[in-house]
Amino acid sequence: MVKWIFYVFVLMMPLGLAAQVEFTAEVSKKKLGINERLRIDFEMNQDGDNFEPPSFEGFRVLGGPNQSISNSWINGKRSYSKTYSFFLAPLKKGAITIGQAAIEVDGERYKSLPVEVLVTEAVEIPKDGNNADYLASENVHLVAEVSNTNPYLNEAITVVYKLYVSNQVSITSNWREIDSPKYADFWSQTLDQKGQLQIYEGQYRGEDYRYVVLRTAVLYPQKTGELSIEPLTLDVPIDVRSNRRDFFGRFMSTRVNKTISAGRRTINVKPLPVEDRPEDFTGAVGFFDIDSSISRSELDAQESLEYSVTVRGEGNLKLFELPKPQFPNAFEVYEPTRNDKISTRTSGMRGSVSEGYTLVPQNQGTYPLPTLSFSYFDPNLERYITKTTQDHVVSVINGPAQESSAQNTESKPANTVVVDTDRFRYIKLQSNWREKNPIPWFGTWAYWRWIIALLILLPLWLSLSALRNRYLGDTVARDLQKRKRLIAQYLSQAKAEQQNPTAFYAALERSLHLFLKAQLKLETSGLSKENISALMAERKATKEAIDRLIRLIERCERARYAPTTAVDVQNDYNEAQEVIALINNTKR
Amino acid sequence: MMARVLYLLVFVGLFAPQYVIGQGQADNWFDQGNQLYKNEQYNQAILRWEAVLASGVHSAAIYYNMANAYYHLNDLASSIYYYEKALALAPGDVEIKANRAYVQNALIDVIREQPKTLFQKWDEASGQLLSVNTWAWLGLFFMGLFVFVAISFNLVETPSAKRLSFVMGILSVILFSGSIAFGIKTQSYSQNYRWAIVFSQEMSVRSGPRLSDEALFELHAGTKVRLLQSQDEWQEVELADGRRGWVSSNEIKAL
Repeated sequence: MVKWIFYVFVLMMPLGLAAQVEFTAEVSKKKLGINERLRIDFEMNQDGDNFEPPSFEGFRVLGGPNQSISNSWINGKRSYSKTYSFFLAPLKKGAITIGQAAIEVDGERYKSLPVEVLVTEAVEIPKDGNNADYLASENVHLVAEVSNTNPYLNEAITVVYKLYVSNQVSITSNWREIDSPKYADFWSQTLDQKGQLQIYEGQYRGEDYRYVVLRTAVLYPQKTGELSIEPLTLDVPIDVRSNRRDFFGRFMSTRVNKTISAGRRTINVKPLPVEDRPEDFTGAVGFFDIDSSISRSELDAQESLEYSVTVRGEGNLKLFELPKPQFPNAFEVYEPTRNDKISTRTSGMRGSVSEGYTLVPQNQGTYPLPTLSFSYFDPNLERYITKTTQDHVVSVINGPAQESSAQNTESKPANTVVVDTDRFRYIKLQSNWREKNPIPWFGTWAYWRWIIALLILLPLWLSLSALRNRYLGDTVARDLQKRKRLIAQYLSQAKAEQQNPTAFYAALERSLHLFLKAQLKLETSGLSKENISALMAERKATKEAIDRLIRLIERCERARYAPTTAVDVQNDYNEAQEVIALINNTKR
Repeated sequence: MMARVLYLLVFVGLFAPQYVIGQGQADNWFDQGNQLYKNEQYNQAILRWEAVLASGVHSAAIYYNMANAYYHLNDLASSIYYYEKALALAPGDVEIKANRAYVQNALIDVIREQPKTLFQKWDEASGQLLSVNTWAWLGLFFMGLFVFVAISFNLVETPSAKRLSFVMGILSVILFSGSIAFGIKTQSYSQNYRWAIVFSQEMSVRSGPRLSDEALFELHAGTKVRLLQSQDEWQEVELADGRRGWVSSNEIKAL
């Protein structure tokens, strides 16, 4: 090609028209990293000689000068250019001025303008404005957009992978996924775009781009702290427009296979607050509602009913346990069946989870089913919320006797009262009231004092009776003496007349009358022998004593009115003493 | 002695009429409650009966009625609580046991009683035979009998009467010491065997009196537990099957 141009140039040379001379210096880029290279072209439109390059201070010359000449003839007008090119590598940072180059055209010297170039720090990829690779990497971006980089544990976050493509490049064939991200510490669900990708218009760093949403992942962090999301890496074939044109003048494109990845993202997961955490919290985060239902509330024993618990709402529905209901012990409970109706959207899981229990009551009765409470953390309100289900009461109308009573009769056959449990008994209408809090008495000092008081009665009584006995003993002795004295008194007159029987008997009779009068409170006038014996008998005198008394009185009378020699004065005196004592005794 | 008699007289004079008045009022309220129960106004009925209890008297019947009302209100824990209270006053009552069985069926926990040895059974039965006060009165009675017999032993003269009173004296001493022994036994039983009913819907029984202690098992409303020792707000309990643990004392209600 160059050769061909050269020949044309040689042919056309004589026809050349002298025109204004232009001599310019042009750099491929004005700003470059220290690790990049720079091309500088010194171009003239007239054929010049004695080209004198500048010193290129601050640069190292990697190549050049390369000389190229182009000469074209269009519509009778000639255009000519001769270019000296140098490839330079900067040696230092900062603004470097490339000095003037000189050329001699038709004996005159022309100089180019100095060019100032800014050398910056090293750039990752040395930019080459026309490199297809460079262009591809500059115009295609894969971005992972995270909805919330500071979520709570178990709060849904969404990662959207978007592929931005600028208008300068195009992607015509399919990409290949090299590395799929593994969400190690997350519960994840990816929502792949199905069918044709929708192309959106958007902005990327302030420039217009087209983008497609490659993939959406819904993540529920399962750990607190710094978690990282691994990048998604794609191998994308990119068609880059090159400077060359095809036969029809269209730009030709080069295909570049490029590996692009969305950068690694770090997510800081907050733990759920510990304070005010309800006891029944099982890790539900989101917004929920709980509901329970029974299929029937009245049935007979051995029939079945369904009890179901449903939690519906938005949040980590698959990641927590439903509250476990507790049923009365008279219910046979079967393993619950779980029914999930969950759809995952970009905002997270939504739907309902329910568990159904089959219950078979065994006995009749009324069974209140306990309410269930369910707690979840609302990340928007940032607090725990507890919701409860409503009450259910199951009435089992007809049923067998109590199970427990049957067991009782098995275990204790002998002495159990067989309880008739066929019906719930009515209340009692009579009541025997008792003091609710009787004063504790047993074991107290007051109680023992009562006991001691009783015990003391015994020696007390014993001593009292002993005392009384002694006293009684005393009176008997005194009585005896008194009586003896009395008898002696009564008989003293008679005793004095012992020598004279008539006087003795008169005195004795008088004494006896006196005695009877005093003792029996009788008038002497009324003292007949019959009278005396009757009165004496009344006074419980012994028959012997009465007889002896009567005989003595008779003897006295006989002695008085028919005095005999045969009298026993001494004997009768003793007899009188004894009789008086006898009567005295019986009287007492 | 004189003062004691006077005190007794004053006591009888002061308290007896009041007691009679209180009983009349109690009967009145009790009947009102019964009427309300009949009309299925269980809450009102319970209020009436509670007024009776507040007046200082109680009976197995009123506790039984309250328990029935609570059962109709689906308050199982309260129901069991009052059935147990009623049974404490009337241990053999068939109706109370029958209705309690209904409530026990609706409870969540089933606690199988640990089998007891014969001696344990005797031990427990002896503690529940009669109330402490009855034993106290019996003790006093037998002491009085002994004193009476001892005195009459002194008085009677025929040998057969003397022999009889001697035997009776020995017997009454034995019965007296028996009554005292049973009284002590019953007293210690009522101190050692204190019961409570779980009122909280569901609670954890822990290995120690701290929230940080391991939760051993769960108990639900209506379960009867025996109270052991307590520390601060915590109470050690024992179940009928022998399991033990600590619970927060405001989750249970002592009988």
